[in-house]
Amino acid sequence: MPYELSFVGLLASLAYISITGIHPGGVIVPSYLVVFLSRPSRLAATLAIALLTLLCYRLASRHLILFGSRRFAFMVLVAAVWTFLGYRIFPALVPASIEFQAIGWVIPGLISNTCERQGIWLTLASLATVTVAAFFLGRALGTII
Amino acid sequence: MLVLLLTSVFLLSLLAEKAWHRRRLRALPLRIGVTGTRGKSTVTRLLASVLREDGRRVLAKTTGSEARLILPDGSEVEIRRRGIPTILEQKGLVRRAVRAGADCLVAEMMSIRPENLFVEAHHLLQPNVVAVTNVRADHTEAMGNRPDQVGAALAPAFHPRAAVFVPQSSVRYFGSATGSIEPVPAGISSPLTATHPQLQRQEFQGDLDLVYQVARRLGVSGEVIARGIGKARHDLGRLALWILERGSRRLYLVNAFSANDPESTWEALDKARALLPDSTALAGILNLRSDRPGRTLQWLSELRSGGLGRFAQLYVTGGHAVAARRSVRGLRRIGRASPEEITETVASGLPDRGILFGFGNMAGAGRLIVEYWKRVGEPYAL
Repeated sequence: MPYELSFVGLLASLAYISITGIHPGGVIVPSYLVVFLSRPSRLAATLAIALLTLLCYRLASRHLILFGSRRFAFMVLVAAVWTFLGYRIFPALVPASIEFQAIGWVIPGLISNTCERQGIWLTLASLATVTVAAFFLGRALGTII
Repeated sequence: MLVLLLTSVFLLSLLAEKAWHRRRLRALPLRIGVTGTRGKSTVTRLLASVLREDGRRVLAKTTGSEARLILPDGSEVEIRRRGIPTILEQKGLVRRAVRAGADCLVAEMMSIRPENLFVEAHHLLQPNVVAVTNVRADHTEAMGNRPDQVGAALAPAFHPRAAVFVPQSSVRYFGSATGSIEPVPAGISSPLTATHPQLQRQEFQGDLDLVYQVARRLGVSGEVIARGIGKARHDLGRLALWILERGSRRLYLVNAFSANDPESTWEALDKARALLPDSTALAGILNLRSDRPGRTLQWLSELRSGGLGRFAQLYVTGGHAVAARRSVRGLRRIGRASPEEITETVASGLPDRGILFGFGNMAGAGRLIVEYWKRVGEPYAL
């Protein structure tokens, strides 16, 4: 039930935010990640791009006027550039990297934006918790229904 | 490929923006940022007036109860906003100051969130002087409840090359903040108030001390400071008093709507009481804002822990009025009513020389009430 898992992820994410007040990388992010739990290389690529984007932001924000919606646009665009490189350039240079591709175009940017606002470890730990919880919840629901 | 193109255009526009802004900042040799919890607009206006009196071409901007540009000739222009206020206004402010040929910019810093305050200070204004008015609990959702948390939230305003002026009593809340903090001792403006006692009557002591210390560091003489403070114009949010004659009764109307937080409000009440030594009973109008839930909770807690006892009667109006009345026994609610009806309702229970004290928030009913009081009342004392 891959697409149904996305909705379980969304509700799990909402519940987590309501209870803890902590955002697991954005409301929608666990919904995408839970579908790819069986492909760890793509999860790793997504997180790597998110962290790389965060590093780019930290360097750029010393010199550019970045805050609020500008910061969000920066994160999403720069993450999209890394994702593009992951799809088009890296596989040509290193064929083994073909499996190492991000999930979606926007997801890494959402994660990096939340990491900047909320802190890296808190965000990543919450993201892992909600994604794994959504996975098992989805399986349990699949068994019942 | 489109994503590469879009990202390149976006980054190049940011780089160009930064380069242009840096060039404009270089054209403004003196940039003063005013931050703190309460009194930012007042201190901005006082400093601008003092520096203008000193012969400088000053452009100033306030963002509190009334967002205003104060031009080098002292005239004012209302800042019209199309949407939510944004710190990018400060970029336009710098551009406008350069166009106006100003050599000095005095800007009330507008950020509440520390990350925005950092951008405002380190990128947009880059002040060489930062004046901190005070450290009090307000905007608690973004800045925290404790003074040290508020201090940590204000510290990003300290540009590393700025001289930072902080009331001596608040320096301890800034921990290891960057910038060279210069404590402002309480009462440092006493040479000024000794020769011009009316200033002490007109202004809060903390504001006078801060303006005096900053101006003295900028080489302004005491006499010029006194003249500048005396000539400063204030906005609607300033503590103001009026007399209202009602038959045989004389009532005092006090505008403290912009004091917002309990500590600043009680300070305003004490000052009003000192200016009205013959006053009797106190009736309050607490105006709450539905978009300031943190402040509402702060007030409910304050009233429950003894604040209500200061008033013979306390009425509540505005966004959270129903919830507030349920939460605090003894509060009376005023529903949708004109400022005249609100004033009459509260005034009806007051004896001769009673005080009608408006506080909480200026936005909404507060502004309407103050505008009505300005029309019907006779200005008093200030």
